[in-house]
Amino acid sequence: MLSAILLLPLLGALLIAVCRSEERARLIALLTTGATLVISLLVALKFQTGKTGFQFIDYGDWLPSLSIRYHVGVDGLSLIMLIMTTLLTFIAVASAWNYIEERRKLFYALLLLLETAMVGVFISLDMLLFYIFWEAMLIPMALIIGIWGGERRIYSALKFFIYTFAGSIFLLIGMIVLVVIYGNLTGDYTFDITKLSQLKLPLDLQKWLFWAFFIAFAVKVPVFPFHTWLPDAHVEAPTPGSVILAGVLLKMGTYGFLRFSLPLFPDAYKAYAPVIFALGVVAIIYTALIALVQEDVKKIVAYSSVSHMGFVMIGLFSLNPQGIEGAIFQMLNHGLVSAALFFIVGAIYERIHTRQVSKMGGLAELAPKLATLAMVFTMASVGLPGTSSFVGEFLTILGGFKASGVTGTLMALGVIFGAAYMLYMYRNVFFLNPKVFSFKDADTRELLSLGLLAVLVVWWGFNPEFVMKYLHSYVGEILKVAGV
Amino acid sequence: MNVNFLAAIMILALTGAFLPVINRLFRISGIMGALISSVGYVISAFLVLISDSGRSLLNSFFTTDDVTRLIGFLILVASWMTMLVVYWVTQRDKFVNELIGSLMIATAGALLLISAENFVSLVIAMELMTMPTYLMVLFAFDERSFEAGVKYFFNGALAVGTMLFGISLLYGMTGEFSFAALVQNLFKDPLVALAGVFILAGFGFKLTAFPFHFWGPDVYDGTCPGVAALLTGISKSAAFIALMRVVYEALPVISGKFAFIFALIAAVTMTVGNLLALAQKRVSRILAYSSVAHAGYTLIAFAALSVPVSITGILYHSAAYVFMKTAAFLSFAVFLYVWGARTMDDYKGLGKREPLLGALFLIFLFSLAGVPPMAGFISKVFVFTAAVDAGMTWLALLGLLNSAFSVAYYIWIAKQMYLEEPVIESPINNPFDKKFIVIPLAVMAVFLVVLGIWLGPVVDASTVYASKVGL
Repeated sequence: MLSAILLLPLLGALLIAVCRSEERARLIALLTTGATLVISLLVALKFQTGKTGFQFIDYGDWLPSLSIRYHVGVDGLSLIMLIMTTLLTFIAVASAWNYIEERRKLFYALLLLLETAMVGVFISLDMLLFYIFWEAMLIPMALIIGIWGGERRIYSALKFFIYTFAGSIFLLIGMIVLVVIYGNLTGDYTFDITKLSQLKLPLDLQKWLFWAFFIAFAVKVPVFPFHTWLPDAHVEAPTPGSVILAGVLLKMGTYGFLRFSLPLFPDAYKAYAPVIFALGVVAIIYTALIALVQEDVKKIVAYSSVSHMGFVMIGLFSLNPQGIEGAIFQMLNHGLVSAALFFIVGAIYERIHTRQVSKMGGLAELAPKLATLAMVFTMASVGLPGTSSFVGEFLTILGGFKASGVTGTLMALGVIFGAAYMLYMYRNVFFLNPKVFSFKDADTRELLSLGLLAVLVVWWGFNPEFVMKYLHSYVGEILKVAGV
Repeated sequence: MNVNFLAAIMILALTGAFLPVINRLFRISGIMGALISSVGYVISAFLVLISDSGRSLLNSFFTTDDVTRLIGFLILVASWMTMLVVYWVTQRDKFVNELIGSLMIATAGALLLISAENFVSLVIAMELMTMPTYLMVLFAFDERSFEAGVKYFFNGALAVGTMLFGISLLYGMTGEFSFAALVQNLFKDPLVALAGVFILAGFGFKLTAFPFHFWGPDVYDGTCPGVAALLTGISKSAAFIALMRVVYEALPVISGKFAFIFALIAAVTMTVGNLLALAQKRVSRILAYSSVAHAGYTLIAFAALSVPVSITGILYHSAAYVFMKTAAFLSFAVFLYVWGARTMDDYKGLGKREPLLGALFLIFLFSLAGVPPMAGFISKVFVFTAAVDAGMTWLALLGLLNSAFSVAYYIWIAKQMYLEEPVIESPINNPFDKKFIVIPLAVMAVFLVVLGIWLGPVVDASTVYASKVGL
């Protein structure tokens, strides 16, 4: 079943490549991503929440003599990320529907390739396979930014590519060292994650490898001070690109910390938690302050992403059930909210061709439906109780408090800044004196896709257990592995 | 040596030798020449594939093992595709049949070189591979190619001279040429180390390893790019395999002491190659310096010669390299022929003008950069794994940093092709059969992707070889 999810977008991309009509490409893309979403929901339905370990395992021999295998499977964490990926790709196709006008075939083919790579990252249980997907994702993403992006698209695409590629290099070397050490100890040169995580390394080595993995993941998250590619890439990317970037790509970094760094290097993970707390707090407050003075709506949302990922990072390193569950929940929830916000910014840009806050205003009168939906997501981003963000932020702050009081206090302070810039933005765009006089309200396509996200955000805000039930056994297990 | 493999070499060389003669006698058209030589390629590829059965002869000079078969087949395919592209870009030239003939003889030499197990046959094979290329480099008949030809000739002569001197020192001490006999000598004489240095230096010229790399970029840039594809791709890959046999089969005792020197040369070669490639404006020079850098990556695996995975690294890198480098130069040749594009500025927007060719070129560049799922990625994984396994983590780290560096210039070409607006208004040559030329390049791209995903053949061949040399 998982292999089907992996292959379906690839087949869709091939279909688009042979299809002659530019118009039909987006239909194929919509159907493919829709089908992928349905299959991944089926996986979630059949998933047994009480069990630990991986389910739906598929494997085949790839290179038996070196035990490199095709090996995929999901546990609670992977499952949540998988559903988020398929959902957001579906939304991204919807957001691209009218936004992408040139070279549609190429665009949707790249988007589907990107989906395969992203799904692959979240379900691979073989490290080499993981790395291949991790890198393969770069090319379509960089091309999407570089071809359909804004004015500084070339600079941003190159910066994105080189930054992440250079980061991944350290992951590769860390991976190789790990495999060689495991191979020399057991005689089995394997890239299998489940086997490698049984390895108990000496602390010195753990520290080195931790930092090698850290650089790769930190660039993706991005952790302050590796965040400078993000505002460029997010702002210049076309709307569907931003949706995917903010929604899915950033989560790959945090996913990597949970999937690799914690089980492989638990001692180093614990030892360096204070460093991550400091970086996380700086990210939360510093980028919130930057967001406060931005003129460009997309930049505000982009910096808010860095700020929110700070919460996730602290939650992950707090090493208590609340912190980690909250962080995973916040990953999912940030995916939905930031994707929706980028969607809205894109919708506004399609209509009035500007993203400057100072040139907007009074849109609420002209577009009440869009304004209402935007209100839901702004509130969700701020962390209003009743939205899923509240649950995520609350739990991560709780986790932060339990780990270190100062960190928790500073995180809570960050929430205030977050409220400030989001509410300023909402006021300046949708209220105040009108500066725009003709503006079409959201059409059915936009209403449906944003409405879907809004329903999920509110529903999970009131009933977080619906998602959390997938996580309990995973988090219990991972904390046991880490020895907490 | 297996009789079928020998027949493959003979057929290839004879087809190449008689092609110009047939042309003189019957005045065949260019397409006929390409067809005749294609038949030669197909027959000899078939013979290579069945070369695991049949009698063997000349056993003290040549061997036919899994490595020979595998790399031989890959070299044949790459050379065939090179022939098609070279024919296509030079079809109007009256010497095209001579050029293709030389190409086939040089390929026959490469096939002989990868099976050499004796220093005498090694030198003969290397000369057979090199001699036709001296002619081919001059093919464009302009001032630059004369300069390149002279430079190439003198460097090649120097390389063979140096190597022969080393070999004669070895012979003087042991009275042996064959690898199997040499490996049993427990070398005590310090002169052996000197002989090793000379032989290594001879190979260094062929592989454009630092500090013998100066001629490389000048020659690759000065000659026509189809010939450069042969020189950088096929003949270098064959030389890697020959060096592998020398290091593991003939002189394991002294090469063990050379591990650190290999590491040092590898480190400097790749760094120099990448740094200089970054500074270039002409695409052919970028590809040339990247070929220097890739020699460095392969030498990393040689530095790790104490562990079995180093053989996988060498074989995989040679296998991937023969396709990606050859194909990159051939793409350049096609762009040069159709659009007259030489410099980075000329490449602006070419991806939009030639979507299919551009996409293929992109695949080759990404493979050179080591982006999955192309073979260039897997080969780098094996090379760096070898280095880590041999306890040279610093070298692997340096290699990886170099790969990160190299992405900058590969992606710069990609950026010029896809993200900029076109500057060249119209093609300088617009032949009617332009669609046809995509096929050979696509075949090479398919080989790259398949080698990147289907790891079995190369890894199995290297496992067998590793147990043969006792690792």
